[in-house]
Amino acid sequence: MSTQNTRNTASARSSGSAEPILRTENVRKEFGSLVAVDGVSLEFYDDEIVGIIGPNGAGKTTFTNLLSGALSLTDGTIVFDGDDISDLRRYKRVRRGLVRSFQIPQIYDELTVFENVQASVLSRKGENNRLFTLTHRDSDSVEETERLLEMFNLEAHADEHTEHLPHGVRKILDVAMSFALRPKLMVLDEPTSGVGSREKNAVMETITDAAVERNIGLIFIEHDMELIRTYSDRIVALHEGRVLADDDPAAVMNSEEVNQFILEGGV
Amino acid sequence: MSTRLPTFGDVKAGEIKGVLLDKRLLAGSALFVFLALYPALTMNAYHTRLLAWIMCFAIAALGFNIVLGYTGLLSFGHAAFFGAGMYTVVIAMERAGITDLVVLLVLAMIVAGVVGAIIGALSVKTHEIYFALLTLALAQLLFVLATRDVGGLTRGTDGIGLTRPDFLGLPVSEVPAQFYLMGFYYHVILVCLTATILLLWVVLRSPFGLTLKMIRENETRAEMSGVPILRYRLYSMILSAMIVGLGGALYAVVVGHITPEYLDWTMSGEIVFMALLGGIGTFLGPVVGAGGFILLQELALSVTTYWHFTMGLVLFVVVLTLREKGIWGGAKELLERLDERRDNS
Amino acid sequence: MPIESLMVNTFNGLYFAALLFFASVGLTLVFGILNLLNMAHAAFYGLGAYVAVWTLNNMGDITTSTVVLLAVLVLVIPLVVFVLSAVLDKTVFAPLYEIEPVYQLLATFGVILMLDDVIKFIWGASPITVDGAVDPSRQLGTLDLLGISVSAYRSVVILIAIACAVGLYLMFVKTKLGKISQAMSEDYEMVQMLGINVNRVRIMIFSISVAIAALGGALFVPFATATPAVTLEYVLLSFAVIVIGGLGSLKGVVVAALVIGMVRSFGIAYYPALELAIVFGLMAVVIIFKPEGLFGDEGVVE
Repeated sequence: MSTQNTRNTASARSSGSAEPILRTENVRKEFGSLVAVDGVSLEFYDDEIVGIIGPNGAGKTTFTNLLSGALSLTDGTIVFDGDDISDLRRYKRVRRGLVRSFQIPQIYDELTVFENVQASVLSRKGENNRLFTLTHRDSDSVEETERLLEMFNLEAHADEHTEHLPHGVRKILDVAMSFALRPKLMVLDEPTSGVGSREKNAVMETITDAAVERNIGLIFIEHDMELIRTYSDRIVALHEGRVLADDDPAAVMNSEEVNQFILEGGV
Repeated sequence: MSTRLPTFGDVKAGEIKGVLLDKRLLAGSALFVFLALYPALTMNAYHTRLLAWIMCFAIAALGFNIVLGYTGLLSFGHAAFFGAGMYTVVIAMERAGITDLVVLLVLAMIVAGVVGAIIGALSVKTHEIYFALLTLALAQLLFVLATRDVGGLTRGTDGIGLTRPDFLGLPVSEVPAQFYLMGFYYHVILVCLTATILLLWVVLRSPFGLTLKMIRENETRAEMSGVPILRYRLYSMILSAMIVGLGGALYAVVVGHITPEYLDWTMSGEIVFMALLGGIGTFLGPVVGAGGFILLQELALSVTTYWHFTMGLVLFVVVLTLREKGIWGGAKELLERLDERRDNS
Repeated sequence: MPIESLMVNTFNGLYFAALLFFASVGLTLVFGILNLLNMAHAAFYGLGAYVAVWTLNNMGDITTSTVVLLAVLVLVIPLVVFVLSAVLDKTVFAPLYEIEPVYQLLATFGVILMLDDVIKFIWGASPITVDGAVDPSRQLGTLDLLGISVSAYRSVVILIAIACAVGLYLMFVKTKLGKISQAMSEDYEMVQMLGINVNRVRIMIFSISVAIAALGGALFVPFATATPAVTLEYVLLSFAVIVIGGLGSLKGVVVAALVIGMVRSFGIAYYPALELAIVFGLMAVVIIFKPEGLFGDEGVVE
């Protein structure tokens, strides 16, 4: 295992101690007359895993798109790592450490798995404008890429073009590419969607282990209540664009409202 | 597990890599020497001219392919950069009295780069066909201005003739026309082409080149990796324009007379055609395509007056069958398959 | 600006607009409904021009009746091209519907080159013109319109363009073919899944589009010569029209053809050096600031 990421792995992951890494204040998004996100105020810490649940149309994906900057806010403020990033361009949010992964894996199909990850590594280092180094001779980024491939068990696929990879591997690759950006907080939109039910746990293990090892806060949207219960430190339930509940898993799962609107309604 | 960095302990990987590299280098060097000696060995003025012509367009097609093949943007306005290179040379010679070839070439690249920056800045926000149509409109705007001699620089459709430039203070322009091309200018073009190939080979395999491929393959992901994609598309346009401008500048001296038709959209179409014919998905495809295009055209012209039909048919078939592989990629694939079959038997 | 020249220029602008409408409307329909960006569309305008000159000149021996000549231009030539394009759609264009727009542009650029030589092979490389005796524009002479004297033939062309635009509009809102086409422009796959014979609709739309372009070319030659350059000029002009109007919009084509027609007419009269520059400038400005064009986000009709 790599040596640089051993710090704090043993320390307890508890929330509420320090400043939140991400804070949303009254975040609102309207599409014409439709209000998709209706005044959401939440806090997230860099040492916790937060699951977001809610029925279709609750505003989960819109909320993540607001965080990443894919959509612009109608109203409200997003504060990340102490700064107001409400109007910051997408790529600049990424550079500050707010990274998202995608429900449908977003990877570079004509490139190899190795190049996919190396591309992220080089981007994080801000080395996109280096003209006269051959990428495969750039030992720093090559070594880092190899470490990442090892961490996500992707070494066997390193030289394969990604278009023929099985879906589960594409998912993992997508997450590995996001980790390569060394985020402070990662937003995962249905990390296990399309993954076979037996693999779901393995995928989640890989992701959460990596997050714990690297001290990265996680927010993940998930429909599978079993996974949510197993991996979340805290659960946020959204309904019709509002926060219905925000508490530890047991409390949220036992909440009357959550049961009424989300769990029984069938997800 | 694969080790990517050749280390001292891993002799085998290093060895294979070395041989491969050597093979390509050897073949390249041999071709370079052969091409350099060709005019002196054959004394064939027609062939020399044809090769000079091909090499100018090979540079242009290579430059063009940075935008199409590597960044994934179809520009239908590269005639603007080719023409900008050409007009810079004649206008600088005529108006400013600059006669040194090196200065002229550098100047042409700068001017083409500036035109590329302007057209690029206006068009990088658009996508796919909109990018193609916008670059087409902007280049055509330049064509119209040049035809109508707006600004009084281009002398309209009459065009401007030019004299032969000197080289680093040497009065090479005084030698007879035939010797100028066969003994000097041809070699300048060859060196420029070689330099372009070497430069781009490195640049397109650098982190910068990888960034362009990221944008081509998945724009969303590239942006979500922290890459300012519009800026890199613009860089790609500028670099491409400079190299296409170099091709145009070199070609200006070969033809000796510059008219606005080099700025017309059909010129852009020819450059696109060459890159596609050779294979936009391969590094050397555009060079092969430029050669293939010009030779095919000469061949078709020599047997029929209907060479447009031949060229159109070839373009049509290449698009439908080989797509981004082109003839160079297609040939490579064929060789690989033959190799595999031989290995199997 | 004297009122008379204003009126003359407006009339000429309408005439240019009519020609641009014929040349462009099919291009935008084929793109909007069938998702094919056919660079070779204008080549059929050029083809129509050649066929018209050839037909008119060969008809001199049989008849010089204006009505017959006009009927040939308006009915026979488009019909012939309609059949021809149905064949081409089944053969040359069929594989193009499946590929990316960028490759469509390139493949159809190849088609332009081929058609260019086909025309040269049949009619030679030098420009050809309509003989005076069979030129309907001469036969019809001029007529007095609100105090200015204008070409009666050009007035007829403008009226035909208006009829054509109205006819297309009615086709889209009234007929089954039109309604299916509209549905296809919104969701091609969905229509396909409904079990509708998409190929038949495709051939109809493609052939109607191409026939209208040929009609424009045919109507255009009595006032001009048929040369291979016609195609190249109209490729660009028709792209300008459909981009400004908004790709895929019938209303957009009408409005943009009027705009460019007027720009050309008044441009030639007052700023002859810049007339085309204004057209391309306008095209660029529209793509930069309003890439969907004036009416591109509204569907075929609306």
